Amino acid sequence: MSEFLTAIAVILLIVAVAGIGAVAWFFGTGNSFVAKGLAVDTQWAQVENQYQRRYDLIPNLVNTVKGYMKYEGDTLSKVTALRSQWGAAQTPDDKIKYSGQLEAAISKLLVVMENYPDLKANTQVTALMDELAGTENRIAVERMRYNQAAQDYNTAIKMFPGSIVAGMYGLSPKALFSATEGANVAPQVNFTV
Amino acid sequence: MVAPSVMAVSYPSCQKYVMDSAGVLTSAEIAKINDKAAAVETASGAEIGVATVKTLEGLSVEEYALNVFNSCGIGKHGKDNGVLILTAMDEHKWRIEVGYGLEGTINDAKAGMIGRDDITANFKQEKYGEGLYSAVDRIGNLIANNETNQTMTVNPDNTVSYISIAVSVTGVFLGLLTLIGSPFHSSSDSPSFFGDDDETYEEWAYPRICPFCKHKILKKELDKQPKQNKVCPNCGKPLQKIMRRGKHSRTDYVFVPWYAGSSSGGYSSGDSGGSSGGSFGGGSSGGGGASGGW
Repeated sequence: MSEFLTAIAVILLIVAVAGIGAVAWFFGTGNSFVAKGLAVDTQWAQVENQYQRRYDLIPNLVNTVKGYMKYEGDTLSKVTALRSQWGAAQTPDDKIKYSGQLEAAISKLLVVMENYPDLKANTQVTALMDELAGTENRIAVERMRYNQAAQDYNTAIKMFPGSIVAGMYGLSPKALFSATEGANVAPQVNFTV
Repeated sequence: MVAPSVMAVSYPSCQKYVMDSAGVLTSAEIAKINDKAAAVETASGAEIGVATVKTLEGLSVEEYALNVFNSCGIGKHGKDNGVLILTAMDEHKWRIEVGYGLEGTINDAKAGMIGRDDITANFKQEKYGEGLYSAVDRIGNLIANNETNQTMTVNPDNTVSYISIAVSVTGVFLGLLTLIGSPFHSSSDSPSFFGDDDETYEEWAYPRICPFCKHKILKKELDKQPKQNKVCPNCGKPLQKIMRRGKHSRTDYVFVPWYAGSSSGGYSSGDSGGSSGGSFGGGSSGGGGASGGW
């Protein structure tokens, strides 16, 4: 009779320990998801930081080169217009869309500027071009890090058994940055003088 | 756009300061650049890496330079005061990658100017060693002229400073308690900083004699210098606090909180001075700098 009770006690003890372990694992995994999610959000803030830096740089560049590039009015006004659109965008999706278009316009502008020798001789212009190219690079780096953080998060919430916890918390995967349409096509420059 | 994985591409092995994996520099040029970079590190702590590679293996020069910079960890960890000059000989491209901590001193425009003036101009005439040396020289001058290196790191070190403020307030409070409590202790108890005249004491303080040039350093000379980077007034080498033991004397009493001195442990050998061939300090970069070609 007492062995039976002992057996029951041992079984209950094992079940209790297993239960505590499961609960601890559950909350531990949930917390790790929270941490990874925050890392993704922090990295997104970094991306926006660099977008803002570019936003601040563009007016200077456009004003400086306007006088030299009499035939590139289209390119310049497009850059200015897209910049304003980005500034006015509210949702992150809109911001990403306009940012992509802005990048295409800026890269076209930089290619066009390469062909104006007196522009390249002007140290003010080359300084601004350096700054803009540097900002574009920083944006690319921060986006790459965002993609890494988002991928880390997505893998964690999708892999079993973490996916059970993710399902209970209601976590969904975060969007990754993908190349904007037309980004793999180099801008064509036509000179009609 | 899928970037090739970091492991598939080969990078030069990391060492201070010149990594001439393309083999375009003579050993005399390498030694000259190493000496210059070592002098810059001794003066300011900033680490300048110079790497020449044969090919970028399909990566853009920005991507390749970023990978080299962050995997070698150029610059002091936390301060991120590193610069990498990378030249790819096949693609005829250069990049000056600037770490987070030096982005204020060497902004993109200055990096571009140095690259065009020093690297493009010299590399067009195949004067590789000269170009790299003058670039390192100019970068060193820029850093030296900006004594306050802005530390725009994204490490969560800001939380450490809040903790240290809280700790220092507690430390001062405890110090005052010790002052109030000292009449109740006999001198045979644990020594306090407000001890008797004939007690021995230990403290972290700057040395009275410069270990490099043996010049006698007066406290008032050190007081004129900025709080962080104290140098010997005679030879200009940077000074670190050392543990001093001696008789307590009221004339040169120094109140040292209990947590001070933990950062520098005296003149330990390591990579704090400028020596080539070692490893970099673990800094990181976020894509600042400039690129160009020749």
